[in-house]
Amino acid sequence: MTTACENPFRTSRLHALEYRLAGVSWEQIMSRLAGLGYRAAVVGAHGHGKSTFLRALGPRIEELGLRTHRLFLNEERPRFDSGFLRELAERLTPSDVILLDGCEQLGWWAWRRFMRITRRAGGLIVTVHTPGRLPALYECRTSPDLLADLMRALDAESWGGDDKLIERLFDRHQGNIRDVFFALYDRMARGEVG
Amino acid sequence: MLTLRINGDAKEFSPGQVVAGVMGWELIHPPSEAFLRLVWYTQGRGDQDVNIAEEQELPANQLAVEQTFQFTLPAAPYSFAGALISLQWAIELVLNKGKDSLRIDIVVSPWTEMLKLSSVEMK
Repeated sequence: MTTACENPFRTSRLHALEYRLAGVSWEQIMSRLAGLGYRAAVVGAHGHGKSTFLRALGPRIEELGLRTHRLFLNEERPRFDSGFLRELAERLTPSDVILLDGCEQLGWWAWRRFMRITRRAGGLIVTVHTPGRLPALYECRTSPDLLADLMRALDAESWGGDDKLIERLFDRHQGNIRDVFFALYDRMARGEVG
Repeated sequence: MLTLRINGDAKEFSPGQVVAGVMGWELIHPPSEAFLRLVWYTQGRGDQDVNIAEEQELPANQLAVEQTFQFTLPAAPYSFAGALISLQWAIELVLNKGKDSLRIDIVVSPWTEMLKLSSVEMK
């Protein structure tokens, strides 16, 4: 058995991976974001890197002297408490930028309300599965090459697999790299090495 | 350069025991803020939990600092390692909101080593 603190696919290591942009630089992303008035969407399917992109974007926004507020919704927690939103609305200024991960959880009315509540903020950047709510800043895509690159960055030589297994896992999980890493984590935890 | 050292280089402690050592830094620019923390954190398949058990604010705006420290370890939780989740204790020196940091992992356990949870069938 590989313990959680030894597992090369533990979440803390995955979160430390640097986001790999495709065909664009961070300077271009920041310029585009400014052009969109800091109201934009990061688009991509499950496990394609939207949250990782948002984590990488946050500090770059803070370097501009703005404050970021990271909000998170998912299927287990699909909405905000109204008290929390009221409190947030009172605190927001043009120096605040909201990073909302999981915007697709909000229905149309909840989204309109959220937009209204956060209108005093200097920016609102959301992750969504499909374009539409805000102009797209970046589309997160995955590929077997990206997965192979991340495996190299993890330096996870002890996992005992090969490139063909990586490709098989990539196909099986339909490009959802997060699920591929979960599968590899479980493989290591079960002691299926080599 | 940051310094963080536990007296005797000990790594395993019992709950309630005192951990003492030396910490400091020598930098070109003084840190805007500095903290020494006793923390525990989880690692594993899920999201990471981090808990600050005790925090000491240090004199910032100084280029060089060297001073002793001590923490009394709480009664719980114990350090453990399992397939899905591990809990680790650490002492960390954090400067400039984490831009500069140094951490020493320690084991907090009533036994002589970290508790290892046995494997269960995973599906």
